[in-house]
Amino acid sequence: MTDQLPETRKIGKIHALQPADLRRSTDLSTLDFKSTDDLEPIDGFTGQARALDAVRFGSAVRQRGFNLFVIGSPELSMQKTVEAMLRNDVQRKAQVFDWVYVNNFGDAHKPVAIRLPVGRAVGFRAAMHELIEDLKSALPGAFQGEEYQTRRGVIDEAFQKKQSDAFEGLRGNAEAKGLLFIRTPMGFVFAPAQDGHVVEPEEFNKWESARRETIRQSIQALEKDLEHVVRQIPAWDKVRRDEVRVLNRDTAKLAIGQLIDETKIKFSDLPDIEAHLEAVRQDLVDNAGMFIMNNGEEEQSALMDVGPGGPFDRYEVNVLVEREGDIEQVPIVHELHPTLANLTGRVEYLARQGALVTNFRMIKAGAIHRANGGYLLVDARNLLMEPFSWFALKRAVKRGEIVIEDANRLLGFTSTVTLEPDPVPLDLKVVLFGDRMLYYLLCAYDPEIAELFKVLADFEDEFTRSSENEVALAHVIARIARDNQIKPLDRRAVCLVVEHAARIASHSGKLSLLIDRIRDLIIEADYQASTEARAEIGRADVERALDQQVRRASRFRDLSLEAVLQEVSLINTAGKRLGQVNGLSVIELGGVSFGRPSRITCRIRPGSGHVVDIEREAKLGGPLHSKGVLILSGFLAGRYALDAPMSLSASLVFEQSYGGVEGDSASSAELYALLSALSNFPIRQDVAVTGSVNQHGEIQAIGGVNEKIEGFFDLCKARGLTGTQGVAIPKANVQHLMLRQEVVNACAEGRFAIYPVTTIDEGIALLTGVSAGDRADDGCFPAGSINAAVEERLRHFASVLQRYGSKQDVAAPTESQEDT
Amino acid sequence: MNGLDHLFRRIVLELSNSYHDERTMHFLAEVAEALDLELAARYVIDPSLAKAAALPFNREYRLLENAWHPLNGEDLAQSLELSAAAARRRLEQIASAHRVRLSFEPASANIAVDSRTGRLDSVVAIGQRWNASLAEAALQAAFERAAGVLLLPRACPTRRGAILVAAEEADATLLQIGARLAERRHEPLITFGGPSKRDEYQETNRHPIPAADVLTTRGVGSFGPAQTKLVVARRGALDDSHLLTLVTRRNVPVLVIDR
Repeated sequence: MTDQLPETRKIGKIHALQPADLRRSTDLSTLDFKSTDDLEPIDGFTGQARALDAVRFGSAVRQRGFNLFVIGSPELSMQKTVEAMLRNDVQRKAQVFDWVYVNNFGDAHKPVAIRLPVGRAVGFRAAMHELIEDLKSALPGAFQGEEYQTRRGVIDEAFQKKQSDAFEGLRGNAEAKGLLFIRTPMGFVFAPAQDGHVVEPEEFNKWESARRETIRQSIQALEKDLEHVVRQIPAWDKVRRDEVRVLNRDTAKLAIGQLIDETKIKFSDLPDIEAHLEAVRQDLVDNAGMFIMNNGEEEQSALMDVGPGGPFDRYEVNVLVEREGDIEQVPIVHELHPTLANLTGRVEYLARQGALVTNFRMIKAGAIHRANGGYLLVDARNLLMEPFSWFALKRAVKRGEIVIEDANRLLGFTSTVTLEPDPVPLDLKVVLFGDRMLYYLLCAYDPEIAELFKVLADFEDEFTRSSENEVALAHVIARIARDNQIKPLDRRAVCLVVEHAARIASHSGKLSLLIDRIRDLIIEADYQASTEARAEIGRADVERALDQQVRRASRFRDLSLEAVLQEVSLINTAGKRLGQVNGLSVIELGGVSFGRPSRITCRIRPGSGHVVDIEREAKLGGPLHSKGVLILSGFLAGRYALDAPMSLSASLVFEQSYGGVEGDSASSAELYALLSALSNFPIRQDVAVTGSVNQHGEIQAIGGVNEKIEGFFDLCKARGLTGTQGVAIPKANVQHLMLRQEVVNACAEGRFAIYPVTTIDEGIALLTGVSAGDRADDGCFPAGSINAAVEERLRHFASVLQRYGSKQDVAAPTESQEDT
Repeated sequence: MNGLDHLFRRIVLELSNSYHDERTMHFLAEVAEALDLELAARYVIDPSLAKAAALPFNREYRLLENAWHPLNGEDLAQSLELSAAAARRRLEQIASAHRVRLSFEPASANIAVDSRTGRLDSVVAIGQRWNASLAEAALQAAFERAAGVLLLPRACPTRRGAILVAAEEADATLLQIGARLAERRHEPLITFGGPSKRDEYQETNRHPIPAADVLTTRGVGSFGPAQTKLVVARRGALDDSHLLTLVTRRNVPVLVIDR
């Protein structure tokens, strides 16, 4: 590479930039390595001291509200970095528990949440299941045992005896009165008897009326007795049922007691479990019938309380949160799909006979339950896109407890009976991840952000490109290669990746921390190396990967360039033109940006002192662009013909621009076109221009300088580099230059040039080859200078207007574009 | 052909116009299925009802309605017919479920064994109803009609349990019945007063059952009603008070054989 430019590279006062200014090479001289295999991998925390300090602070403070909002570019791998930090945070001891839901025997719609030490929930569930299984054997055994059966038989027999005695009594009374007591399908009937049988109707009719009357009265009396007996049966049956109930309770107590006590011993250190077991004992005694329901009709009523899984569900345990793996490890839950149900848990339902039914066993844990005692990591954008989730999370954090909320119920879509489970106390750090714009919008529109997310961790997109940091990035590259199990990168490949990190940062003095993009490049370079069957990734592989990345995304760029080459889009890259300049714009499509030259023209005439921005008039210009154009008026008014009214009417346009134009980076180019038109000095078309300008004529920095230069370079290269072509950029943008090596080489060989420009005067001199001219002590610009010509033209316009005595616009434009 | 064909052919069940206990029907169907017997249901209609309906002062007290209604022959005949049809329909369902042959016919108040077959072919099922005790006279009357009497408790058990045989030594008939029931119902067999060793048992039994299912015990004190599905006893092996205790207090059906 040539360090010194040819003499022709100096135009006026402006020197073209040296190749070293166009792309800063990587200096890894202090690092002795051949490939990344020789480097000690380090984590991706490099350059993020500010954010990581915030994360440490946020995770260390236990008070409520000190939750973290981590902001930065999505390609920063913030989530992995923060997760790794939190996982390695040994200072925070895990305050985690297992949680279970059990039936509330007092109110089944309000299940009870019980906290257990880690690892005990599963044991509790197993113990309760075993208890119920044991009871399924023990209780029927107790109820079929000799003692129970004997006592039950006595009770039943007493009831039967009362009934049969009463009916036998009736039967006896009837026989004493010459009647028979007969059972019918639906009840009873009394009939007169003769010789032990119902008397024949013909015979009965032969009886004397007095005898028949006696029979009738006897039957009437017995009917009253029968009614009396029948009325007593329910009362006798109630006595029997009460006695059976007492017997059942006594029997159940005996059978249940020992098993419950054995279970309680296992959990004697947990008062909540003991209390629950006492409730279970009471309920079992009250509902022992469900275990023996085939043994007596009284117990059938127990079926009334059958839940989704059967009558024994009520004694089971729903393990909501069960800690697995390293129980000392603080739980870190990353919820990728933060719907309301996934966050706060849900109550599920079973369709049974057309109705939706549920019970405490159908409560499912959400991410907040699983993260309780640790950290919940959620992407803020995903969270905000899910209905109810954002507000539910805030409510949980504010209350310090988890309440399971049902979206359908909130919307009024379900009317079935549901559950109101006990809230679970919450001890949680929420870590939200999002981009900066989202965070600032939330701050603006949601006042609770400041209350609930007190700790901001702002990840840097880039860090200073010192030698030490280049070395650090090389170590990060080594880690990426190792983590992704790809080939090692040789020294020159690492250098190129580091340089590309500077290009991503769009700054030769910065290095990008967008680890994802760097990883993508290395993975693609690995692929390129594999196609060549190389054991290591070389610089050529990285270069090919970069070329392929650009190529894949360059369809629109190539079409745009083709249109220019075919002169569909008119762009000159040679010669001079009056009132016409090549501006540079950047187009961003799908995350890929490229530069494109645009022809900017200006036409002038005497007028009312306005510079007309055609883009704005056509509503194609954005506010920043319009602002840039308005600044031009201020520049003209402050510099020229200070003793005469501004009598200019000018129109500026981006030719063949059919989309919107935004930004002020073309304002200097527009001013050059305007000055050219006013001064009648044509502008070089082989030099493109970028940069914004202020009212004092100072050129200001713009964005996308590398893409803009490369866009014009590509066009010139396609048409053939002449050696006079180049780009004028704001001097303040020199530090941002990280141009393609091809461009740098062309500049080094004198086939292309980059000119740093500080003022409009420098720029117009570069573009026209004529000095701008400084105002002398007599207040006049030097004759033959650009500024003198402009001032003279403006005075002429003023005189024209004065001559016509009107501020109305005058005839035709005064100049035309000419190819010189 | 099975080994029990020469013992019994049917179980006779008397269905009165008001007594249709479903669990009893299921239990009888199980026994009939296990022993390859026909279930012969007799729907008993008291002939005196028709005469009573033709008399004056003929009012019927209806339990469900707790009210008196005039009793006329037409209504009575219709309600008897409906009651019989309902009993038949349900019994047919149960018999079908257990794959048991069923015959159903009306009968007079006095149970009479089919004259074509005679007493020795039948087992009469007697359900305990309002009577608090099962009198010896009732048992005697039943044995006049059949060689086997199945005494049913008020609520027949649906539980699983052992078939307990109270038999004299080498009582092949009872052992055959017990073994068949145990084998078909997949229940253990307990012999009481019978052979004490499995080998002896097998000598008398042409249908050996797995050793684990054969539990031999002795003594009344070892009776475990909780584990007993059915007791099969020779008439006289257990006295009447024992029988009544089993049926009424311990809810265990007892099949008493007299042949």
